[in-house]
Amino acid sequence: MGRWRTHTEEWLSNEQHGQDDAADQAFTQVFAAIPAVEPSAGFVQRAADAAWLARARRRRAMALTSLAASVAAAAGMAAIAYGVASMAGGWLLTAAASSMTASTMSLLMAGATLVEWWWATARAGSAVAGVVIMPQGAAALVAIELVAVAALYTLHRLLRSDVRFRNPGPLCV
Amino acid sequence: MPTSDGDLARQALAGSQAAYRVLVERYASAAVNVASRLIPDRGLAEDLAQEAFVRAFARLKTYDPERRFSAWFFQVLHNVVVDHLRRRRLHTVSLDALQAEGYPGPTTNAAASSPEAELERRTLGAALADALGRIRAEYRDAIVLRYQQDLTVEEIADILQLPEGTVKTHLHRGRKELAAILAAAGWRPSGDTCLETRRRQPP
Repeated sequence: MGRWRTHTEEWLSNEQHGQDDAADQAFTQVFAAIPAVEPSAGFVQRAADAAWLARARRRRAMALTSLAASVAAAAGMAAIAYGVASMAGGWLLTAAASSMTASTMSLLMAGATLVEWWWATARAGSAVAGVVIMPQGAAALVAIELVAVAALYTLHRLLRSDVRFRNPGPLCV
Repeated sequence: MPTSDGDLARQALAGSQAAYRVLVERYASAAVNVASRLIPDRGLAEDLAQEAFVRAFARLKTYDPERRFSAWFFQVLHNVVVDHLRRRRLHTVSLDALQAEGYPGPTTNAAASSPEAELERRTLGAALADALGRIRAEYRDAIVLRYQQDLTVEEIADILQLPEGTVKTHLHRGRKELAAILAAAGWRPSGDTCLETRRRQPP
């Protein structure tokens, strides 16, 4: 009787008698009868190259997504700022001129805060990019931002019409 | 002294393509073998093994060098296979057709054994491989990881995201099912012998 037959009978006997540990040991020998499967020629090179190419693609996608998110965030903020400034109309210009004359330091500090806020938003955009690196995710994010910008611009146009209706004429400074 | 898997992983993360290639080389055969046991289509099994290496490289930051690389990698491979099984139907391709396309057939170590022993091994191997394809998938996963890759119950539990008790149960029941299938095919614990086909005597 060959050794394979012997191992198999030993395993089957142990299973029959409920000797789990012995069956486990014997089956390890039996399982070795299944022939190993070798990878096809060039598998190693293909797999290593595929992994490296995927890494390069991920890095490019992350860079593009980060850029798109930062641009979209900046565009959104600019739209909001433009809308607010236009709604206030000439009053804001007058008030800004007075503030600048009366308190230059306060205006500079406000500007610095605005810049910090803008950079924080850009960093947030980069963080989002770290999460949404798939091209579909980036496209969806940019689309949402563009819709938001379009909505804000439309609102600004509507409000501007309203202000023009109420404002009797140009400001005289 | 060969570089450890952990060191190779660190070098690969630092940007060494050569280091990752060495890792792929070390585990290519095991990956294809495990995938082939879980997916009957040999060509597809190799594609999934390659996908596992790509995914493993993308997640190399999550690899804990305290852990065996093989156990961590087979977890990735298992997830790749499970994802594939969820997405698509399986297409089976005969081994002959694959070999005609250039895929190497099963390896043998014929020089180390007599022709009779080799024949016996092939017969048993074929019967066991066939039986493995017929048992429940969760039992097969545990059986392949335990007996083909020599992973511990703890490592298998980690890979399959199961309690250790469940893994032991799967191993036990998987072996029982295999034993029943082989017994039905004529492989019995004692007494009767059966090599290849058994000629049944007419009553």
